[in-house]
Amino acid sequence: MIGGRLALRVDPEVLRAVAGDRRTVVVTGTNGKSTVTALVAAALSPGGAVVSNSTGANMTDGIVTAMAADRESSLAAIECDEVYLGPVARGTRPKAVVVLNSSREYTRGVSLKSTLEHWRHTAATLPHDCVAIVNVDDPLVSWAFETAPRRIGVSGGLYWRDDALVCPACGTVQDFTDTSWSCPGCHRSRPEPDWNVVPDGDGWAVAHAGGRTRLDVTVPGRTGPVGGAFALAAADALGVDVDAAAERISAVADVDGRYAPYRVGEHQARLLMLKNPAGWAEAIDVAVSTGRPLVVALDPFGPKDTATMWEAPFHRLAGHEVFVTGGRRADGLAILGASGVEAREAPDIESAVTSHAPGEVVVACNYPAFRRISKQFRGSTH
Amino acid sequence: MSPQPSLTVATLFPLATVAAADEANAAALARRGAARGISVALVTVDRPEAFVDAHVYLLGGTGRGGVQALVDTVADTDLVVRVRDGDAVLLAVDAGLDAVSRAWVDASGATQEGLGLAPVTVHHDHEATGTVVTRPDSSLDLPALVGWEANDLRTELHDGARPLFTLEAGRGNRDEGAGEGVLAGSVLGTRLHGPLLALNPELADLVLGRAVGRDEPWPTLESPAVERARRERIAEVRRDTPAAGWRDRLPSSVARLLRT
Repeated sequence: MIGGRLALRVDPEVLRAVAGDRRTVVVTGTNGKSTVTALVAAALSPGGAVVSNSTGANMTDGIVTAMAADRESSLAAIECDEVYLGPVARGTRPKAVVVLNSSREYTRGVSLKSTLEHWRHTAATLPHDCVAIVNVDDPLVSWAFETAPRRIGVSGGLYWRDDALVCPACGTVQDFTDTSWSCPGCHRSRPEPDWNVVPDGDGWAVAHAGGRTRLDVTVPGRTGPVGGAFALAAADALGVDVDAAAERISAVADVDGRYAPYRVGEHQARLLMLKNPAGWAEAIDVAVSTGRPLVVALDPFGPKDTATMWEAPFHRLAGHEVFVTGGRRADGLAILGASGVEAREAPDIESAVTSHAPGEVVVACNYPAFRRISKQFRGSTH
Repeated sequence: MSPQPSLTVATLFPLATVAAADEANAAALARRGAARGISVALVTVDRPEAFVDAHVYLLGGTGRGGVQALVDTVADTDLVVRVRDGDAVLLAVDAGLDAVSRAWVDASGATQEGLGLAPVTVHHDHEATGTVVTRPDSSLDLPALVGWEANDLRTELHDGARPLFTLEAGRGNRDEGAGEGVLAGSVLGTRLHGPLLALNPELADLVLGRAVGRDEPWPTLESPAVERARRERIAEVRRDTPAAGWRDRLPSSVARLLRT
């Protein structure tokens, strides 16, 4: 599927027919789509009367299926694969498009450049009543959605700078500070965000239009409140009361088995699923910023199953307590060892979790390890 | 005491092609270099103006879409001259190998001219993906290495050039001799991702040795964690893909037992 162009073979008229005239929010980006789509769905409606495909069937056919299965709901929160944004936007005519981040996708033959060009073209053709809610901390997203008719900025963070070192507009090397970026070549710079995540006592709040909305999201680290900020911005764009939306977001305990902590003896295990260096960078950040011990769980799924992990900044975990488990744990030990992290090996997930001191443990998984472990934990906690 | 040798390793234009984790090769060279007493400075070159005179160049990626951009961009640098004159070593992986070939095939199937650094022409073939295991090569001081390939290309060597590897498992160049890649002058070309140098420190040694002009073999240097990861992958390949015709080579008494 070179170029990922098969999406264009699906007739947008089919999607248009099943989408009808409901009000749709489309969520796209490289990482975090499922989580934010679930938060958007919660934010939009108290009764759960929202069509959503938040389990990850995020290409055109999966979206058609989700829409066709529920012809009643007047609202929809739809997760969309990056390279399908064009046909999905044409088919659903969304009121808001949420764009989380952009980094290279290693699992298929689509270059980041062609994805960004596809986004930029799509942004220019969005309906005039559609708001693009974009992560202004990501220079690639910011550039791609410059052409959108209406734009709102969220400070969504940038965990993976390596793909954004060069300005996508002019090719000049960008200047980065901890919180901002600018291009000395074409003088583009980070637009001022309309929605900001700020510390609030022992937790987080979202600052917007001079006000503050407290967010209690169970997702560990800054990732949770950032996802909440995108969801609040989407709710606001659709005219939903922000405070009520924040309460509903705070009630979301779980997304597809990803975030609800599982009890393992005296421990609570929180599962993260990672698929590219940007995702691993975020998981590493969660472990470092919360100081929680880490389990890395890796199972085999083909010749390149751990290839991308070699590029992630595991050196940040030096001195951190890390156990590695799963059928590919030899790779994990090699990667962590190469990064100067003294990780230890555990024969299974229970012993990996309970080898740490009692309390919360972050369990960072590749895809098959995540499926296996969440199924196993779900089975043993019910 | 001689001063500690130092090398500059430049990763060239990583965003031009589809990512295949090849950029970790640079960090692998720095690690192995440090273990060998060589200080390695890493540079990423994102545009022609930022090109530096390095001792090792890494050119990688996958897919046909970005190769022309790579050819055009590299043509604006001194890479060809530096590598041809033997002033620098080039590790060219997959799309990088296409770019430095004499001729390669673009996404539409048309043949395009490459930079001509590697005595190689590339042809369309059917798609093949999988783990690759090489045969040990005492002439290069290499044990059995592991990598992965995913391409739809046949790689033809010219001028008597030797392949970089001979394969135990995998498709490689798709020639009759089970060759993989090319070793010609200062060019090491391969289709193998891995990240290849991270999983195979002896290949990193080969690149470093050529870059510092070392003729004698390196002293033994173990990296147990990496070697275990590689050993497990190789064992997996041998278990999953027994050599074709292995049953026919068994003594008939054993073969009889297996059939029951």
